[in-house]
Amino acid sequence: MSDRADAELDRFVAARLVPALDALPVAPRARQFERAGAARRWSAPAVVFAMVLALVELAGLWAPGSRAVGDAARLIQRLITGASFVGYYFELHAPDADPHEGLRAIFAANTLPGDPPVPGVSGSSVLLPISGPAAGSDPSWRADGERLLLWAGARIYLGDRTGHVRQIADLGAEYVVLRAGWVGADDVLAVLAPAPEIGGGARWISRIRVGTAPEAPRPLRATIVVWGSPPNSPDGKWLTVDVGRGTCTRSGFGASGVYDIDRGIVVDLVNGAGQPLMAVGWTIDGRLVSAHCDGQRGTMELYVAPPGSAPSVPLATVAWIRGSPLPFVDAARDRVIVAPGGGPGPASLLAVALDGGRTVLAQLPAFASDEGEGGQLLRIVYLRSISRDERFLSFSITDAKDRRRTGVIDLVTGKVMYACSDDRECYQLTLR
Amino acid sequence: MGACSDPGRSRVYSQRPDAPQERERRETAEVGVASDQTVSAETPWETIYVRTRPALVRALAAATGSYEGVEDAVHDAFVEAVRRAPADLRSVEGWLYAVALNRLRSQRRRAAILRRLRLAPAAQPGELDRALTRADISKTLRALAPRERELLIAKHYLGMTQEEIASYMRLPRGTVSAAISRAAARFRELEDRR
Repeated sequence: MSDRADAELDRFVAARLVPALDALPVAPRARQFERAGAARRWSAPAVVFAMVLALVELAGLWAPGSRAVGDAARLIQRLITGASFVGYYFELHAPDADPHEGLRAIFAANTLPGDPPVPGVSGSSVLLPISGPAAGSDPSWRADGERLLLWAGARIYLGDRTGHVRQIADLGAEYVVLRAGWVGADDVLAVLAPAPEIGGGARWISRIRVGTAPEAPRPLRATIVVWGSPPNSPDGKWLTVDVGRGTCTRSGFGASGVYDIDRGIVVDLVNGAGQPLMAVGWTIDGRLVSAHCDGQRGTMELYVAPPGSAPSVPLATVAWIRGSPLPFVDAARDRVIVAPGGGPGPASLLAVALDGGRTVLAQLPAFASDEGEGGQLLRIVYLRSISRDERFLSFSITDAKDRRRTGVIDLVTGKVMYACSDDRECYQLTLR
Repeated sequence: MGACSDPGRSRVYSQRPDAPQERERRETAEVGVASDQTVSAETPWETIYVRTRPALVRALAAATGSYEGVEDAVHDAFVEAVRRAPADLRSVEGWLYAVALNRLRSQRRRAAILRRLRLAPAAQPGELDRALTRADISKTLRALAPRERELLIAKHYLGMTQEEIASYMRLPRGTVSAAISRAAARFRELEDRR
């Protein structure tokens, strides 16, 4: 095309585009320009909401466990934004487990409605008495590997390593359990959302001690997105939450803040230099392991510090590239498992002790293609858990279609086993 | 909480020399700034925010087909600018557009996943989105590929040069040139047919 024709085309486009776009409405200024990150702290409506909530609670006007909702509660419900939580579903496929290890239980979850969840126990499968449209996900083993915590709807169950499961609490039809985690060896902290038919973005917590009635749900600040496995600190005082400024993942997903349950405030996770951190997990003594990824330097800095503090000295610095699997805390041995420098391709699997010591555990196979459909890198690869004999590693990935898939790698043979087929999503799988 | 570099400081930037005067006049009039007031090297970001926000919001909404998250993305882009905008920016608006566009893509991906996980409500089109849908230009823009829309708006609405587009949006210069030519031709074809 000639320069003249180009210029004429440019004039045509500008003549149509500029006035048309100028005619588009723009909302009145809804916010003042706020300096770096200031908006992430308490906003005015959130402060007002918290004050109203506190006053209502003090006045005894609102019992969260009750269906008798007064005017104050209705007012609060109007203030709360967010969606109802419907819940996850499970699927029957349990990946192949070590045939020589008689008691290894593994757990698979996916979104196929109606299927009961199944822990795979080598040589057999044991059906759990949980089914229906609101079965939970993200099961977690107690650090000693003797108890498996899982939930469905408002009910919380304990499993043992033989696959036997019993219900320990039913929090009522108003709720569904969003997340749950161990507090010490005997208690469970459950984060609750409204049942789907009630809706809304409210959140509550309830502490449950095995053999006793669960504590009445206590309201949390609404709209927080609880994230992490487990989400709570071992003392039950903190939750890891997603504040939308994560590092180490392409789309900023992950727990990038901590929520102080008693004070009702969110604190962004940052290091001493003010760089954002992503929560990796909790140590047995209640410190938070977190990571900062630097794409330009190609490094991931791991930190360990009390929640709410800004650590300055990294526990370890390892190689990192975009797409590297995200590490996890191996609660049974109080160490961080990381695959330094590994994208979806082969990489060493490393254990970093809390004193900074490192041990190479195995060589990971290429367990996830770096090219999804459409040619995009898989978005997030999470390492999840490692078996006690260090033979199996579970992982989950978010693929280029945003589907969640989970599987197990046999670290001896390099065999990769997915917990669900190509056309399904499966969320979580935890080894003991 | 992320530490900001120096919240009290006004970042130095330079106005791109070839910004269309008509746009300057229109924008300054829109925010009530005297038309003879130029943006100096010491112009505070707050002033730039007031001056450029309307055009950025429109550009981003038109480029992505929705107002969802646009205000947040613009705000985040300014926060980013305070922290790390290059001192020799030729097109502040263009740089902000590129940063906000990236933020917006991430936000939308993130929102989509949260919705899939039932952790966020389904998007409800608001009044602004309905207005966008009704706008005649929307039909034409929707028929273009997302990248074509973004580039066309960058060039013709925000007045970015191809070098600036390539630099800020991290695209090869040749790709930008070819994509804009293709998009412009397609735009004209669609408009002529309308």
